Amino acid sequence: MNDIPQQLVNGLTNGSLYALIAVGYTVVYGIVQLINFAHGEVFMIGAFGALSTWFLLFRDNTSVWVLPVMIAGAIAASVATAVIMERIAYRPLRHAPRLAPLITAIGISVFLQEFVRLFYGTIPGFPSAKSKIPFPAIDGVTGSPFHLGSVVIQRPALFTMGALLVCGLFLGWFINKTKQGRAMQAVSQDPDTARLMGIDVDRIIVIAFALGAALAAIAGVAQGLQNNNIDFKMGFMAGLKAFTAAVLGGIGNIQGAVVGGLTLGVAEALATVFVTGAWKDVFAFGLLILVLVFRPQGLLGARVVDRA
Amino acid sequence: MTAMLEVTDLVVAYGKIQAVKGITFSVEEGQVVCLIGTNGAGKTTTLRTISGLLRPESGSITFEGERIDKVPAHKIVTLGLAHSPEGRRIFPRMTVEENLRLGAFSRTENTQKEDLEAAYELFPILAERRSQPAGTFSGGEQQMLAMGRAMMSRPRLLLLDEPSMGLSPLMMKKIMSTVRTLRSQGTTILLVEQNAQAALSLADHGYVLEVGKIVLHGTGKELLTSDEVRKAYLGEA
Repeated sequence: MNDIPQQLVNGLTNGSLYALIAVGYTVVYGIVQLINFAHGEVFMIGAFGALSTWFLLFRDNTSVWVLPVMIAGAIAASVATAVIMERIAYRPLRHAPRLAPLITAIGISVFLQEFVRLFYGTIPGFPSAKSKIPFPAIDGVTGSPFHLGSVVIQRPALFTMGALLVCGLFLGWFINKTKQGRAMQAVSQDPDTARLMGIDVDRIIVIAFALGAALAAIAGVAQGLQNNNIDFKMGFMAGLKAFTAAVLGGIGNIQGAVVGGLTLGVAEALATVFVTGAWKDVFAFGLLILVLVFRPQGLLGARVVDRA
Repeated sequence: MTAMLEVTDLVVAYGKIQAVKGITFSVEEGQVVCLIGTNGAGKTTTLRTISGLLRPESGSITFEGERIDKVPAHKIVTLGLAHSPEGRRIFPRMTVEENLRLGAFSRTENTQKEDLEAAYELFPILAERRSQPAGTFSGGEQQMLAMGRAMMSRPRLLLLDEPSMGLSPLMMKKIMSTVRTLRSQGTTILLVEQNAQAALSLADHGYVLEVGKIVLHGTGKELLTSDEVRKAYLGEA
């Protein structure tokens, strides 16, 4: 039992990662009522974007100033992927029955995984992505952990939690204080009336996809730093967990995604303490089923991008 | 001299069902023009097509000499044409002031402060409740908010869909007198109403719609006194 504090730290770390990805599910759902099951792959492509930036520009350099450039590369790769996927796969299906875009999303997810697996290694100078690829250990952000009494805090864990804090503050500012953010709230409440106000709904949808992708990209970098490696299927389980987190918090609700992510992470960690680590996924998805049965609107409720 | 708004041979369909079957009418600058008719006559469909939410099957819509029937809705409002929709459609989880500010979304000049003042002057109750969530309001208050929000874009033509729906007689009077005020301030108004008496008594010109077609038109006075209108819409034998 005395490892509870340690497990709480681990839980909050994983939870922060889930939360960063869950925001993407929730923002897009709030605007177009679509569960973008390819969002996990957007996260994976963020990690590959960061790695590719490092290969292209830095190679053996692991100085800390390299990291912001890698994050920028990750965001560029993820945002481009998400925006292109919206344009060519989802927009033509905007008025189709709900099942069509859902199945399309699963198709894109499989496509992106296989594309990275088969294509990445064929780029000159890049390693094959058919198995795990080592992720660079950036100075200062990885390395010897901090000790707080008996609790060990890994450096990448601090990066992940810090990233969630910064992204959360940014989102709150964006949604509530900027013109595009308020337009986004309007579209999520009533798209037709939003158009009557002069809001270009297509543009807001693109912004929603891009915003979610940027946060997923940062999560991709965080995951790479935590695990020291990345692979083409890393988005599958992370995506499912983040989707669970979004539903747990109330799909469409940004605050809910953050609360849901952290709750899920901590619940998994506690399951590790009281049962066994091997059962943590059972607990995570068991929690999803319980929420869907007893509180389908989620912990915070509402399907609206209202108030980050 | 062409009219401010000209609708010519407009046909609008939902799938295979035509809701508007070739109507022609116009709105002169400075007038209040009303479309009356029962449920399903095609009044709301006509307004939604003018503001770009629906695409016509055929026919044309011209606003101030410019074809707008292929212009997307979010651009039409920038041309000076605002739409206060049926059922008010205010943003329920936003405050009064946030709703009004969204009404000014299309404005490029920053006149928001004076436009807000103008909206509050038109409807003082909105000023009292500026920071309350709009979803908690009564129908009449929501109607005022919807109209105030539409005026925030400084429209030259205001489309007003069923403003009196579900309102008390007192509140309806207030809304109709606001329509007069707006006209006197220089806004042209296209009004859709089921309450024919109220609408015709303030309209310069009226059109009667029946299942997607214009069956009768004339000045407000003419229609108020016409036998057909009295029988069908004013409940007289």
